[in-house]
Amino acid sequence: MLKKIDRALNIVESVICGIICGAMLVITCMIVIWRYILVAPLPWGEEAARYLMIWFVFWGCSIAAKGENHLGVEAFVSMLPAAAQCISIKIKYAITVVIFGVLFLLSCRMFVQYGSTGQVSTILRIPMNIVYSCVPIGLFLGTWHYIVHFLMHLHDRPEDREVESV
Amino acid sequence: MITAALFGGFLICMFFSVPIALCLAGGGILATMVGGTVDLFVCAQRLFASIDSFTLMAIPFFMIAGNLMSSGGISKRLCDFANSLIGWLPGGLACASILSCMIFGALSGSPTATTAAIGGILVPALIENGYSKKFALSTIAVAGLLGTIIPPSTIMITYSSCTDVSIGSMFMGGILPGVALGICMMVIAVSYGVKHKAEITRIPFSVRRVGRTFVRGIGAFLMPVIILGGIYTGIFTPTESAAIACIYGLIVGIFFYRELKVEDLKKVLIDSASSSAMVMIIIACAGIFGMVMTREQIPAKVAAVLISVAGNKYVFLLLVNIMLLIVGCFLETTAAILIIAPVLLPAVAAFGINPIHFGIIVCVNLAIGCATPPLGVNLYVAVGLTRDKVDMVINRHLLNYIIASVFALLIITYCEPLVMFFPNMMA
Repeated sequence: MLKKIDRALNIVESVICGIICGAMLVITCMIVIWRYILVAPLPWGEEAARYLMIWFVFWGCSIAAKGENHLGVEAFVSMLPAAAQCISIKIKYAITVVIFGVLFLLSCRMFVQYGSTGQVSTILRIPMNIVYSCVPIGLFLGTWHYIVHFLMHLHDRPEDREVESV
Repeated sequence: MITAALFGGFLICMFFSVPIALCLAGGGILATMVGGTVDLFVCAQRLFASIDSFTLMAIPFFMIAGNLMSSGGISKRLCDFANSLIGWLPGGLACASILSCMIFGALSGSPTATTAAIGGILVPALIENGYSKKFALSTIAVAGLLGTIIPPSTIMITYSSCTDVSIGSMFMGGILPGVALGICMMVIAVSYGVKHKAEITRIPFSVRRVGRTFVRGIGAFLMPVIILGGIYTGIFTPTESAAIACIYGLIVGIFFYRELKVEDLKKVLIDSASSSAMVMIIIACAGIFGMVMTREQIPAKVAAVLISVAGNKYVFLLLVNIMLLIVGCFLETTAAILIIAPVLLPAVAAFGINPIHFGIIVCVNLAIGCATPPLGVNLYVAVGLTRDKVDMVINRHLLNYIIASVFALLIITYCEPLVMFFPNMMA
């Protein structure tokens, strides 16, 4: 079940990132084309590209969380004996899940706040809570992926780590 | 108390190898909670506001461009050209690897992309031509850092974003230091070549081969001209130039060299999304950390201490170099810049040091940190190429290269005109 959800998420994440990335590139190039070839500014271009980039980053954040590409400093943990390493890896995932979770909850509050004030973006007039929605989504998926990592390492025993390091 | 919570939270998370972005966020949230005067949800606001910048968009674009270049057959042609140009030297192929990294650095902004792209082609070639595996891997791990010193460079964009120095000037300032670093590394490669003359095969110099490989690589050489020329003449902003670079890379890879396939594109996209998100999330979370630092006036306090301890700018720069080299061994580059640059800038201004010069010093230091154990990302990328353990690359050759790089760093630190030549010309 977990694996099925994971695979489906993976496809959704890749497709969304691909579309956003293409749009971002096209719009940024359009800014240049409009300025030099059509000699007219593209007023909404910069804002649209900027918001797309933020979407790209938070969806990418989830992809990076899945592949554990968010770098950490492994030096101190690797100096510990195997038994302590086994515990520390669980603590690592627990802390990561907690921080991701807290950020997710805070961003939900921010999302609701934007919704209730009805703020819109300067040029495109898009509701700000839609622009901002990528933050809670990205953080939620990040939390999700790290919960999965945590569950996968929950039953690690020191013996397994010794075998792995040999 | 708040300061203790900020750094305490950060260090505890770091000790347990929590992702560095979350260490920054964790420290920031903890300090805000301890302080109690500010509502916690400003943290969520900072997360969004820190990366809501058109300038920072250049980072994902340059990452995509770099990945496109390495899959589109461009890196292979660069290596051929570099080898035909200086392959006849003693240790010629190793020198050519360093030169290839310098040229690739002008296309890509990241040290790991450079190591992966050039190393993937030249490490097998080096071993085949009689160089030891240990030497080949340490050469490519260290040479990769040129990718982030020769413009464009993602860490320079990060530095500019937190200090208000123009990205264009930083890029121009990186050119000569990058060349100086490359030359110092080549000295090590040549001395290895002289020592192991018997085992290494060399190619003779031929003008025709240089001409032929240059023509085949022309698609790649035009790219830095477009990027730097465009920024230099003010035709486009760094972000726009990065987007143009992506489109250019796509066109060259698909139509000119015809090596870029649809499956490659998918991989390029996923890799770039993941690696640029990693960097950008660090920037977003560093916004929370930085907010607490500014509120507690930590930079001003640190500046006061530093000014009284260092006394003059030469001692100050030496202290900064030592500190950054140590920090670089442990901390991820983007995070290190975002924590350290704002803290040191008041002192830099007080000593009358040019912020562009200082920025280049910071970048070179932290770039060297990418190739020093224990957290040298380049070392891991290099051993990943041959599927070895990281011990394979940590050896005396690596030490020699690092010493050479630190020598170059000292020249860059104490010879300001080397850095400022191009930025002054631009102004």
